[in-house]
Amino acid sequence: DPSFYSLATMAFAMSASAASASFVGSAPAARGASSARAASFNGGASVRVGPVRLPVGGKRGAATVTAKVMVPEGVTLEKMGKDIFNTTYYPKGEDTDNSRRPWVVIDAAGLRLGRLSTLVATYLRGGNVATHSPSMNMGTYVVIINSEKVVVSGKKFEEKLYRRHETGRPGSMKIEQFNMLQARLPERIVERAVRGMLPKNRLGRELFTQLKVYKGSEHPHAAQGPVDVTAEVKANCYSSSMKK
Amino acid sequence: MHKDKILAMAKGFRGRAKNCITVARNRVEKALQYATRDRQQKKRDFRELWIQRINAGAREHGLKYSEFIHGLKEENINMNRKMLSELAMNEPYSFKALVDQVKRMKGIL
Repeated sequence: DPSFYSLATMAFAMSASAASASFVGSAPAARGASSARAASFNGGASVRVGPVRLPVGGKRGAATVTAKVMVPEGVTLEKMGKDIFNTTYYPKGEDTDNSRRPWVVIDAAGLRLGRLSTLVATYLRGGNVATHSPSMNMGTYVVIINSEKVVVSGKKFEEKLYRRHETGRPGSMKIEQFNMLQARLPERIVERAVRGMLPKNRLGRELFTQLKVYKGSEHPHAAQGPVDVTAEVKANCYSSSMKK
Repeated sequence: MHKDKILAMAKGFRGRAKNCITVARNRVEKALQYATRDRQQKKRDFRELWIQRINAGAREHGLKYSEFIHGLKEENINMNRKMLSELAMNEPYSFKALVDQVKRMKGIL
């Protein structure tokens, strides 16, 4: 069954095998032997890499002393380099390159405004992938079409108000109902909803630029090959009365 | 001298805080306080990040984080969140195996 995040799984599975060592483990590698084991060195069978701390008696001075690594003759220790298995991976700058960001298209006809917007915000932030890193822009580009057919429940169609302060001075507030704004500028409704759900900082503003909302069913981004995820979005856009 | 020690710790600070001892002393004290506080917070922050990643990875396969962790506890799989998140990122098939085991336990799969 297509899951909400299946796009990410597909794309990731293809790129995962490149650099990952085959590490299916539970416990991190033992870092530094315990002092009890340090003294016993079975000649030649195992080589302990790395400094070992041995306890010393006395109240003054260091509590432990670094032991010399006991290496048998003729064995060279290789420098293992940075520990990649025990440190949490955080993506570097080049991983946020624009060319790596996937494109996604959603047909908003008949979807409820808020429930659609939360999922869109998750997509934009990259919260649908296991490599989610909140401080970097690893999200996807989201194209929304048929934005004039977004739906709200209850009396919101006539009664939800959109306010704006036109000139910034007192007395210049303009109020518009949902149906009036949807007739005039339907893209603004979805944009405002999603912008309220993104972080309000520099990164949030950058994420917002990855959202492309269009009225009607045409969009100019065919060259980017956006993947249609409307089915997954619809499956997750349920109302609480429909929840099983 | 203590002054030199403080100015050595103030390298990279903004404006006069890296040059003038009066300003530098205040900022270095603050910096040390922040460092102490954040050594405790670092543990919390990383656990948050791991949980977010496990949540995203599990939702890719149709389970929520809460259900996934509950299933792991029931199955007595005691992997910590750090390694689970590394699996989710780098070993997707292994992670899927864990998710499938939880689903089998819950009777979903």
